[in-house]
Amino acid sequence: MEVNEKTSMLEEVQNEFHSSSDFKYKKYSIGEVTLHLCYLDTMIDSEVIQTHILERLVSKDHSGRIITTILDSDDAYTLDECIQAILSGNVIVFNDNNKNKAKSYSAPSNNSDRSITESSTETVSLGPHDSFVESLKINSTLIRKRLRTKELIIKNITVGKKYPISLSIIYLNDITPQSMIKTIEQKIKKLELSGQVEPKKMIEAVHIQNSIEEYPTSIFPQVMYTERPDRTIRHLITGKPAIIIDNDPNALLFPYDIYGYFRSTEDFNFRWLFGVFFYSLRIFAFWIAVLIPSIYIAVTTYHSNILPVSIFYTLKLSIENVPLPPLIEALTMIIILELLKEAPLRLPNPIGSTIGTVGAIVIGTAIVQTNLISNSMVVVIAVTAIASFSLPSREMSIAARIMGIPLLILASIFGFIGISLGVFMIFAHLSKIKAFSFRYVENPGFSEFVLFKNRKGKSS
Amino acid sequence: MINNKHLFYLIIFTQFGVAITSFPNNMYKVAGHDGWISTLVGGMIVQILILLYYSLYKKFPDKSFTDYTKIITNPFIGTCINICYYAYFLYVVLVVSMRFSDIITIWIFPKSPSWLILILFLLTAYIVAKNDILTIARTYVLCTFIFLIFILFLLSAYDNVHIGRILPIGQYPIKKIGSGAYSSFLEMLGFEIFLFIAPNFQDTKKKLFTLTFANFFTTIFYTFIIITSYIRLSNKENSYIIDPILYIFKTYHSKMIESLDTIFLSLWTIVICATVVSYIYIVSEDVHKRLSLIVKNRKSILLFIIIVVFAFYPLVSFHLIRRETIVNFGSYLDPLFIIIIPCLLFLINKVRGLIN
Repeated sequence: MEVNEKTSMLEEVQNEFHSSSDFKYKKYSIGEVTLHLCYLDTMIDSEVIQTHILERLVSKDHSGRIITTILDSDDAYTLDECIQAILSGNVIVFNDNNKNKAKSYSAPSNNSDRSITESSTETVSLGPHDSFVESLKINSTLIRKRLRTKELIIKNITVGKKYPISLSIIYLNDITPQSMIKTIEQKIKKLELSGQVEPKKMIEAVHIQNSIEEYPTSIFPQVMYTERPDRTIRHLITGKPAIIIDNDPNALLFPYDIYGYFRSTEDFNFRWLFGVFFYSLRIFAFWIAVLIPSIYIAVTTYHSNILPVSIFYTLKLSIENVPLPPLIEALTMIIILELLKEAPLRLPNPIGSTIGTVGAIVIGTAIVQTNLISNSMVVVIAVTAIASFSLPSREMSIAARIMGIPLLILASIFGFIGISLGVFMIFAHLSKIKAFSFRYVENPGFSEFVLFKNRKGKSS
Repeated sequence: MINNKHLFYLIIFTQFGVAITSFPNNMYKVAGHDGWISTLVGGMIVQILILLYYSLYKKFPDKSFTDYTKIITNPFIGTCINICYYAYFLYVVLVVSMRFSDIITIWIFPKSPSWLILILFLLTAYIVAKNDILTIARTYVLCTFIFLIFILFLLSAYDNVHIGRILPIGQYPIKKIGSGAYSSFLEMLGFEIFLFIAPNFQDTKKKLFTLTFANFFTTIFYTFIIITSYIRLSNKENSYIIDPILYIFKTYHSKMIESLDTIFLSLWTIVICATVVSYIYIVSEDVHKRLSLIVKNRKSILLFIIIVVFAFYPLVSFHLIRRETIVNFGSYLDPLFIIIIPCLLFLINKVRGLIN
């Protein structure tokens, strides 16, 4: 926007904001100097203005400038710059002498920040309890506080033309390849130009995830969302970058491998044996969640010959009176399970707990007693659910359950053959996924648990 | 770009295939209870061929076999040889898939339509083979657990074995053991893909060691299987039962699980599929390289191969072509393509080198 010849920039700024009630314009004259302050009072800490701008002004010399202040200051020459500065929580100060040149002081209000609390999605029993909050600045602090090295780079960029958002790419300069950072930056920038998101939508974490992933259509998540600073640090020191978006309490850890989704940060705080045990247990749980329903279907439909007579009778007794075919039974149970999981999330806490009762007693028991679903099927689906919920990452747990469905259908048509060929296809898909030079499935990383490293004599 | 580890897995997964279930019986027919000696000798034949192949590869590193047929002979003859090789590989794929659908029909799904299973089988092969060679090799690495389970299953047979059944060692004449060695060598085919995937090799050392190790693994594994079968089943059983390995698994009983044959065959399906994947990958990749101007997409070639293979199914199942005819055809093709042509090329190249 060009500044009109006749009007000054100050008037233009006032014009742009005149219909917003929270836009404030203040004029102060002290001696010969007159200062014009423009800001949005919803974004500004007025105390900061008082102490850092106005009080400085009183004790100034007569040049009409604020001499020393700790606030970030910047010159703004164009109307665009002024507007952006005001919108991101700065105070614009015009001098009476020159109304076309302004100085902006950042004085953002901290009132809207949530205080650091324990993460509700990634709780651990052993280890630090702090988690990210919505403010980018506090999140950067949490990381900076832990990694006291000058190699830690926090790179702020702004994307979006219509609705700009700010985000930081955080990495360690000495071990992260520059080309990787550049590529990620380009991909994020491309989001701004592509027109897929804006102007109808705003750029959000999911769009960034979509643009940086190599296989966004894959069922497997390749970007890890985490609320935990210690997980982020662990990621950073392997030479991979993290992206933190303002107003989002999740850090996006990018080239992430599948084994990371099975690793809780807690594992590293335990004694190594416990860590290895729980880590292996979770990998096992993933395959249980994927395979158990389809194996059950295959066994009951085709391969009951692999069961010894005693087990066979137990199974047969439970499925004998059920009129539905096993596949329908399984799909019904899966849907009921997802509903049971979804419903309490939408309800306030006291009512939410009743869902558990309804789910467990009413549906669980009654559905078996009415012979709609067999006992064993309820057990199988419950085990699947427990296994999938034990994964530290919510996305991976959903992926595991969803991946079970095509296998379920394959199993109901082809039995074990369908399952094993399906697993073969999943393996092929998994081995295909990569990001930069990092493969999605490379090594299980048992050596990351402390003891193994010491034994091999590798010190880092 | 594949490294030695990937090469190892590519080769063993191609070598093991559908033949493993009937292998002890085939050997018993030829070499009696000394079949396991034949297997070891067969491994040595493979080793000699690997040395030959390796020296061919050393002459023309970063070139595929189909490239140096053209260089050694002339482009026209070379192209003819290449087309024959493609046809041969398709034939291998056909035989493997036919045998696979037979075994599944006999052992797991006697009443299901086998064409449906064959469609899923070939479709899976297509989906896996459309990836690049590194992805395929990495997929094989992930599937290694099947071999561990196989070994575990085989060990379960050792509760009732009688070592006297393979004694006295060397009872059969050398001629029979020799012909047994030849037929065991035919079962171990699959190492020839080494020549065809050569352009994808990373520049690593110890390739020959990798190949030897792969061959060693295969030979030992086959010997283990055959010995297990021979000492578990009586001599009479060994000569009558067509799929002794599956038979042994079927007789397994425990309180938890029975008839391991179903589980084993289901898992082994992956290995069989891997064999098909290797061959159709090689053919499609090579044809695509030659015809890249005409066919832009490798997937279409793959799809074409799959359809051609599947098109033989009705011909066989309606007895328009007898199954035995197809299988017997192999006894002429295998030595021709695995031994004679590479040997000839090697000799021609040597002679030419001497003349120049």
